[in-house]
Amino acid sequence: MRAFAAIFIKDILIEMRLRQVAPTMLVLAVVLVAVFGFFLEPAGREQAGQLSLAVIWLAVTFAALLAAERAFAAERESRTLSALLAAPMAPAVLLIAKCAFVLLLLIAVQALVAPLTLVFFRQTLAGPPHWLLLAALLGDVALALVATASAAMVAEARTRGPLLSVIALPLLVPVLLVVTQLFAELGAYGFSPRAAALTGVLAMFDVAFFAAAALLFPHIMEP
Amino acid sequence: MNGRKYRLIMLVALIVTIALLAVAAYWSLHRSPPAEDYGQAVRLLYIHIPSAMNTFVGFLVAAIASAVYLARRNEPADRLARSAVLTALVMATIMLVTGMIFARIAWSQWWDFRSPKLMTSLLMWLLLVGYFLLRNGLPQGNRRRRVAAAYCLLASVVVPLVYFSNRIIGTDIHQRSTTFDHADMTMALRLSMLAISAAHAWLLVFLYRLRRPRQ
Repeated sequence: MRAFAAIFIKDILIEMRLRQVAPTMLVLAVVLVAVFGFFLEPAGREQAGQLSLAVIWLAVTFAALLAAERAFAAERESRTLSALLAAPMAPAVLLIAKCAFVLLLLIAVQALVAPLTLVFFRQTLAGPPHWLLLAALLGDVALALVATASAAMVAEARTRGPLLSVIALPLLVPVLLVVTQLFAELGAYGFSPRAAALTGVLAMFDVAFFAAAALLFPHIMEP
Repeated sequence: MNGRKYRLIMLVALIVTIALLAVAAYWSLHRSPPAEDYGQAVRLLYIHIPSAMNTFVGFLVAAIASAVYLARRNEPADRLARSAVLTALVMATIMLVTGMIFARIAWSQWWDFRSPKLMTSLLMWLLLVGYFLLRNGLPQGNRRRRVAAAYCLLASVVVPLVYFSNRIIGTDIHQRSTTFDHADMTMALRLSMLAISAAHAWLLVFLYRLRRPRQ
């Protein structure tokens, strides 16, 4: 727990001092929302509800990939990754700490981008607030886990950024589909049996990704 | 197994596989009648269904070999995983192409993003391509092998989840299962299954052996 807290707080302090990732994530997300808006506006009001949810989650996904890529790239560039791996702690602690950092940035960006997108698309977020929050949190956890594990995989690749998108997006598409459907369902019918099933699937994704990432991370990071 | 013996076995296996493919082609194109609902397009299913099944088999072999590699770190397991991903990619490409042509004829549309089976197939194809891009993007060495094995296992976790989640989300244009009401149609499918599986196995062994390190 102390190792986790030390890495997590270190990343937050570095980010607060250098502001390397968060501003870029936010601007990227806003740019994506604006670009999607330009092309999707002619689609009409009927489809705007579903489209705005997709736009929010796609913008957040790309922001998460950016944050995860920087989380490991910064350690590599400052040559601290090998020191972290040599520290007396389980390698999974490093994954969880990095993942928590990405999750924190993700939630912050989402909190700013989601209302902006809804305003742009002239939509309101309907549904029981606590279920919407739970759905968003489950979706964010899955995004952060896959983005962080994938970023660890491509940390030594020559073309990290594009490669990260190529390997992470097919893994994330099902999560994005489920979470946008869940938001649409909660907005239309409240907490229905289908919403319960979708929440269960999302939780299953989180558990499966966490278990797989925790088991595979030591192998990925082994020098 | 020495080189000469291996080459002889592979040659015999290749001749048997080609003979099986020829018999399957004869049964599929000549003996099998057109289907009542899909007409001549049913002949595409004799390639599509076996290639879909072989894609899953290839993926499964790759996942098991990757797990073995991570547990034991032996080079042959990594080589088997890489070969299995490549053969699965070939099978998945055949499955997607034949499936799209069949969909255009039978359902008047090339693709439907709401179908769980179609979505699973496309994502599986993307994951298989991603495996090679990841592998080629990393510097040579043991780390590349470990990362590729880890990605293969992570992808194999996703595939069943994708199918399961899409069944809740999607409305499937794709039929749940395919049954044929004519004996020659069933026989054509069985022969195609046998022939395409034999071709898949032959290709897998060939690639596995081809990539062995030189002494």
